[in-house]
Amino acid sequence: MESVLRKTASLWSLIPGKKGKAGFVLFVLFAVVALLGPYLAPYPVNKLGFPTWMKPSAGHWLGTDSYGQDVLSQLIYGTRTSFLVGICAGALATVLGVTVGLLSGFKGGWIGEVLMRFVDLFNIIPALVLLIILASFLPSVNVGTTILIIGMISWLGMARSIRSQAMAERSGGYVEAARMVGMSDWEIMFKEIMPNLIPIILANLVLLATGAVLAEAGLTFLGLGDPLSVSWGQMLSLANANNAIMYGAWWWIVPPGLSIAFLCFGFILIGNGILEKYRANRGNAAL
Amino acid sequence: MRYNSSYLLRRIGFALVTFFAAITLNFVLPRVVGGDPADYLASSRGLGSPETIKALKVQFGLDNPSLLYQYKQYLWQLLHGNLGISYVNYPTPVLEIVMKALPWTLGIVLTATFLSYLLGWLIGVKGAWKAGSAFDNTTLFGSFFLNSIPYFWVAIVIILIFSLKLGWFPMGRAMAAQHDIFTPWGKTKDILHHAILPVTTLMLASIAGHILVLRNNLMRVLSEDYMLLAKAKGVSVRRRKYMYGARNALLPSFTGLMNSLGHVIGGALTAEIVFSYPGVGMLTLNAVLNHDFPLIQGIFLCIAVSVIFFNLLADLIYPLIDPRVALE
Amino acid sequence: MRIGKTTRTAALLLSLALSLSALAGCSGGSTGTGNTAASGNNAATSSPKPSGPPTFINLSGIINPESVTNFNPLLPTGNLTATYPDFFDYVFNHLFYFNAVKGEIQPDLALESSWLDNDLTFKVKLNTKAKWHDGQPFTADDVVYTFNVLRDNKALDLTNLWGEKRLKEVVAEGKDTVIFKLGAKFPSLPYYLSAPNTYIMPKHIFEKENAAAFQNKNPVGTGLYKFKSINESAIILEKNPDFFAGAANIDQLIINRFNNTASLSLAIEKGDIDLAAQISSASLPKVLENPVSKMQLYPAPLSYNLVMNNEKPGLNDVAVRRAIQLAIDRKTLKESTEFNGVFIPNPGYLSIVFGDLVNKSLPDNPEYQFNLKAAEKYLTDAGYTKNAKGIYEKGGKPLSFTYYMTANSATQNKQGAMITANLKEIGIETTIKTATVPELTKLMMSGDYDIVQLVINAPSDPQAQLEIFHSKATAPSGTPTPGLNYMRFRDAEVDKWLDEAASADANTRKQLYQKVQKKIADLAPLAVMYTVGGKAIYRTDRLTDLNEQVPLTSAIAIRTMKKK
Repeated sequence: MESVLRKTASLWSLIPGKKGKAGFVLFVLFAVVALLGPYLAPYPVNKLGFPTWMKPSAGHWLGTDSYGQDVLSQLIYGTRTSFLVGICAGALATVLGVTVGLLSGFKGGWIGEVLMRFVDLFNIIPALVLLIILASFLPSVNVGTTILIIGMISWLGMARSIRSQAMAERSGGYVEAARMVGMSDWEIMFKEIMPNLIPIILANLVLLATGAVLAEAGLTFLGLGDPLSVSWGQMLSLANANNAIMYGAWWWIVPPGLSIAFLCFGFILIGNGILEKYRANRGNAAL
Repeated sequence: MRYNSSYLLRRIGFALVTFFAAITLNFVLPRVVGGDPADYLASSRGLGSPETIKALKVQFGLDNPSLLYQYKQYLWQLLHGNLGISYVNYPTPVLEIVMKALPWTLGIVLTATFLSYLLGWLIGVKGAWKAGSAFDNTTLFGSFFLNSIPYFWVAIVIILIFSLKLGWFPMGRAMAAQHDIFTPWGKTKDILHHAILPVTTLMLASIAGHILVLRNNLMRVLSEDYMLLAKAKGVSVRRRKYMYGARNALLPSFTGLMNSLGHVIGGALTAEIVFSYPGVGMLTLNAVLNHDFPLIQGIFLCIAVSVIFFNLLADLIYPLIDPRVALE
Repeated sequence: MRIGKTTRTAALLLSLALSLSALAGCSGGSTGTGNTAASGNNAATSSPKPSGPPTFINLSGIINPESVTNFNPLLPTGNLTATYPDFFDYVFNHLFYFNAVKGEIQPDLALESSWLDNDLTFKVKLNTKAKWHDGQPFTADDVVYTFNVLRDNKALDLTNLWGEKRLKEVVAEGKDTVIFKLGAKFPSLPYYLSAPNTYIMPKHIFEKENAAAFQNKNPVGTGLYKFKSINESAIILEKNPDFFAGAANIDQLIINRFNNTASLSLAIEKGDIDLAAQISSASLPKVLENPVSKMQLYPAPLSYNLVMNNEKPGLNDVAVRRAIQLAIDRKTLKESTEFNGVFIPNPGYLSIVFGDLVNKSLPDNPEYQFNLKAAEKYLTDAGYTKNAKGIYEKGGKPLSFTYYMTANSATQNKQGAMITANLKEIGIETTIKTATVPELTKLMMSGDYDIVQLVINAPSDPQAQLEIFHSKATAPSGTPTPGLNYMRFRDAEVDKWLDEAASADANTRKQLYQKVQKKIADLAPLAVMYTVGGKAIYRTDRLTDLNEQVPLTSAIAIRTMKKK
């Protein structure tokens, strides 16, 4: 028990800055809700049959929606989807971005150029089309494919950022030393250079997670997400499609929006904390 | 200040190659999705005979299934400035459709982009100069928070408050139904009145990014040696703040501006939907959902051209801001 | 907007269906069509009225920039046919008008009509009081010209009017009579003459252009209203003082443009709209809370269905299809996702709009209603057993299907979610996929699907509606269907009955249709979800003299409508 506490404490001290800690608290809060969702939610997720458009009350803290479903239960279950999409899509994009960025930055030359031109080219295609095309290739739309789609289109910026860092590291003495020892390019890239970029990668990961949560919301809002999932974006899109504005049903509109905002806010604070610490350590690395 | 000719050539060459790659991609991508408008149109009426389907295919230039042939046609037409004819809106040329929607999108997005850049710049400079001050912390937190909000949600909430509850602004659309009977001044006022909420939404969506980029760059610049030197030499605060600091911090944020200008056409999709605004956003979504290949291509061509153009413009302007760039 | 899109799609399908309803009631042989003179034919009443500020009413529609790129109703695309068909109804006229409320045909530009020559000739006498908006006289030449445009441009003849055994020739007889000569008996012709691509066009304007690509930016018609102007937010029409059946009371129609139903519905709720044809179903309860807002609701010849591929393993078993049919909770779909803007359907497919032709023993029969227990019993009786995952299987093959629904449609997706949840409860597993309507159409045609949740866009003629189950309209999976039998359903008896009905008298036909419907309900080649409703929302505090015998948004109703 004590060791757990100590570990927690040491982990806590690892989180950089007050803002970072605040962000971490938000993150943990949402993580708990995501994990314990079924125990916290007052009703089964898609239970119909309550009166429709109920204002918040003791029985329904956040009222009911146009289908007669409990909004709070939806919100709690939705945490899981948004959280999952954020983390997984962010991680996927990070893997892609780091690989391409390192390769392009370290190898340089024509490989680097070609990879970057590729990135530029994909930057031109609007995300919406990419999403639809990707979706049409996948066997079905579910949370997994949403993650895949978002992950596959959001690594472009990360690749750029890692590339510029890798280019800077390339000239570092330790790379030369590793070469002398006879390490392969891959080993140098992933064993020598990458560890130095961990804070950048972490920061980017967290920011990509933010982007992924927002992308999921937008995608679902446009009707291109998983129609079966209960997510904050799905709630908003249903609220909009079912004229929640007209019914003055703020309790269906405001909570999912604020949830998205606070989860992303938490991510951004963490990312920013890491970046600030990295900057301080390295003395104003251009990020 | 001087352009290095190889720099110039490289940039322009790159823009051209990208352009070519983009138009090719533009040809390939919609076709990957599949779905034949002729089959759809004919079958949607239930009674279309095979001859009708054939006639429709001829009409849409789909009678020759060879992709190479279609590609050649596409390039040839493009060369003549012809973006083709919309499938779903036959016989209207794509250009006519896009041109009808484009001004509205450009209007709100450009206004929002410049306003948010300007405001973001002012707030960023002020924040960075007094880093750690209450103002700085507030704007920093505010920006983080703004960056966390899905902006279609902002649009919904704004309508809920300012249109429905307070009734200050119309609930959407670009003008009043009776617009035509207004005086010229009345028409202008009418359009502006309708544009305020969409522009505000888009500004809120983009301002945070500008504030953060400018603030961070300026912080970096402020800690450079020459700033200390300038201070030691007694250069005035104002001069140091704007001539030395902000100017040098401009380059990266300028990239941000150019980037957002490049994405101006596709940037307002969800806001246009919520506000029922007659721009490119809804047009794009409908074109994609209807598999209107020529229209999709036309819209993306516009997007590609604007992205490439603004990137090139940025490349050409950089050396004026920072001569080191061209010497690289 | 998802719901906007669905509703738009639905509106499109609906409008097509209504116009093709046209083809409805082949049964009646449409003998009576010539007998009734155009209602209210006293044009003399349109004397100049005391001048004052012009009266106007606000209408509304989903009118995107793309749908006003042309005002040529002969074209299948780019105009308001799909999104706001009423526009053409106000500006132009057909020879006949299909009244969607009664499911009947009535004369429009036709004054009277008769069948001659052993029903191989159809003679139409025209109402020569009609005049083009530019003052030119309307004559038989205009009618002949219009139909010849369809003949000469196959791409415009989407109803295959000039197909084999149909129209052979259309000729003018003097200034006021048109003769349609047929290749074979074709009793539904009058219904085709009210389809959207048979609005009569002015020859003197169209003949100067290529009619198949003419954008007609300044439409000139014979209709109740003249086109005045269009801007980003409205189309404005003004009264045609010379309208042949008498001018309208209201001077101007302001058709408000929206690009999604959520915005449109908000405008209705706010009171900006006096009369609306489109509204999102979710906003119905709120809008109708207002005691001065009322709704006219009538069934459309169109339904949402689970279209099943009867050739796929599992779905080729009638027990499985029946189980699926029973797993649809139609009452909940109607009440909590469509807010009573739709109708509980006939499990035998034929829309309840067809009144007497519907097999009355089917719609309320509990044998076809939502019943999860009975559904599961069908499966167990057929020898299916539950596997470890709780899915029924037979011979090691679990009942697991892909389930397609429309992308970008919140309501459709919600309904799909409810249905698939019920399917799961009875031990049928589904993998959800979404696709756009063109993609879904392609999948259904090719047979590369298990289940698709969509409308089948059959012409509204009961014969044509039921012929979607005829084996001549299908092909094996992998080959595109020549007709609308996407289900790959084949039944010798159904084929026989339908073939008999095609040439039978009205009474026999009715009985044959009832048999077909019963068989469809029992074999469940598809499972009907609900029958789509046609709607008009109107303000009783602003409008009077409402003729509810026709759709309130139709030109006929608006002509006599008055503003309070």
